[in-house]
Amino acid sequence: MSNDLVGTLMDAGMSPQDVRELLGPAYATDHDPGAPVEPEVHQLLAVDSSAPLPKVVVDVLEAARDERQPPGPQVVVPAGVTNSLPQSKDAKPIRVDTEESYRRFRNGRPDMHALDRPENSENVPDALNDLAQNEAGLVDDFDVRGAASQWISGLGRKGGQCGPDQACLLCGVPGAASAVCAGCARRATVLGLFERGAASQMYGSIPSTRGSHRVHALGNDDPFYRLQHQLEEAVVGSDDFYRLQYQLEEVLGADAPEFYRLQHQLDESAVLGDDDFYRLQRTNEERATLVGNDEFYRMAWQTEESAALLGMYTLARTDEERATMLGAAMYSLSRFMDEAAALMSPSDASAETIPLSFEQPDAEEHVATWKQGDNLYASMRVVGWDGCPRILTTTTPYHKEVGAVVGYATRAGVSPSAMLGVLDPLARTLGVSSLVPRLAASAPAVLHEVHGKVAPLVMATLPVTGHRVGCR
Amino acid sequence: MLRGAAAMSAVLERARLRSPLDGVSDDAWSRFVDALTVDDDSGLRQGMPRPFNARTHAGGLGCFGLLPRRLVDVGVAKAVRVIGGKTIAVGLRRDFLSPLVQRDALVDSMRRYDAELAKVTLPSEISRSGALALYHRLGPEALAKWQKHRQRSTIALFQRANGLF
Repeated sequence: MSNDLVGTLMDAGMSPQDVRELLGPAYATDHDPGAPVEPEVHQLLAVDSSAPLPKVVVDVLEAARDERQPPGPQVVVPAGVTNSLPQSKDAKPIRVDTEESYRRFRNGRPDMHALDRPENSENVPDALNDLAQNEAGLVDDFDVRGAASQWISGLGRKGGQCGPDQACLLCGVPGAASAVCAGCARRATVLGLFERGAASQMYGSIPSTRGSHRVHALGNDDPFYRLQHQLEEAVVGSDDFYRLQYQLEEVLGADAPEFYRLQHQLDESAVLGDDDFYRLQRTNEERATLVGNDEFYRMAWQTEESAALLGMYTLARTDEERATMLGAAMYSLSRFMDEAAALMSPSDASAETIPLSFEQPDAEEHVATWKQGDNLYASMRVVGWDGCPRILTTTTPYHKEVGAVVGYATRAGVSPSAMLGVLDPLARTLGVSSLVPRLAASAPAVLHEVHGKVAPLVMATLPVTGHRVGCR
Repeated sequence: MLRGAAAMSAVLERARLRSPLDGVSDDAWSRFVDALTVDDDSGLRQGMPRPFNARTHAGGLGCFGLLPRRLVDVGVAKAVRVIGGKTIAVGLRRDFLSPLVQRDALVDSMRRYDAELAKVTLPSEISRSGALALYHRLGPEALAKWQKHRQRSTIALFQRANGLF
């Protein structure tokens, strides 16, 4: 990260001396090899020790600390292809037991949509029932309270149930005073709309590259298979097979598209060059607003996450404060671009499936999660505006999730050996389980906004803060 | 293939630090690793595990306090440079702060030291784990240095690690 920031500043015309003065000696180490600067290793790993601690992480780490695991076979993380979502002619609509879901919804989670619905309406039970179905099946179970919580069910926690405090819809951290916690409300979700899971899979389907990428390509990359797969899905019927989209809309209520607003669509040229493979969308305007104050265009880095930082930059009184604010804003921009590049750049790295648990047995037909290279991915199959299948995909850096688990373990006082034992599987599962709710929550708005446009598209969404979504 | 909760449960239940050394159990290896992570320097964290971004007084980096020259040996750093009497690593891997990278570096280092141990006869009061801890703290000439090198932090490390295997 440090060199990315240094490179960005130097590309902007700053001299190495200016960069060193602005950011401190640690950031200029690699760019000024003549200077005998000791590497500041602690600058390179961001461990967010102030983040709320998910209970499931505490439980898992405590179990790892307290119980010495007996010897057993070597850990083998399931490896293989996953990005091609499982296809089945017998796939059924996602459903759950409505009575059970209703009871769990009423007992376990405050009704966050109650204010939006008339209390005396005859449709209230049905509406709550619908909400219960979708929340329990699409959001509540496959987040951090999902797979890992099953493993620690013996510790007294049951998957799908919430405590007295409401859990954040996106990250699952309990104690949120609103549907989305303050941290998630500030964080933009970068996602792509593809025919396959990510751009790397499309590149893998090019016949000329199949020879070198066949081993690593995700799923069946045969164009005929893709066509057949689409035909099969069309024959099965969109009403039943692609009900996911509508259920997703129900998750967030009738005004679902407004829950998330489309921030912008990235320009392909910003990352990969002038390729008409991607759309050019307001790039210049968005860049201009980085330093300007145009509120018309909403960008990921213009949200609370970075706009506030830039605003604080203008109010900073000392050079040190300004350097800190600028560095944080640049980090936000860099993270956004890194995630967009991870979605759009071709990759020949092998993929490893990361299994998640779903309350609804058919949910896994629509969701895939995997690790490829240095990133974690999650894909969800939805119905496009033209009735054809589309794949919504988002990503997060693997090292970021590792850092989060390290932070949790440090706060929980877990020994390094115990933490190292569960670090990799925990980071994978927690990482992708945080991506899936974001996909589900942003899907309705994305599909609404991209009407008439041809995939692939890369865009960013941000939870709308309003009367239903507040900050602590 | 297991999916969902069953797969996660299977992974987590088997997840633990595995011993890279022949004849050393996973449990003993875990205790040895924990012994290496304790901060023996005088400071606020004395007696506690080091963070993964730590730097010891002796110049060791990371949670395990790997010495710069050893980092070069295992390919994590490109070279060492002596500045102001201190040896620092140059060209450190950018992802060295990842716990998994540090774990792999430690495993590589210990495997090499363990291979060297097979060529020497250890004194009766020094076990295999104790010798590895001394190698880890003092370098390849650890056994010779140990006769006259009696720093408090090194003694504490030796006492924790000796006899584990």
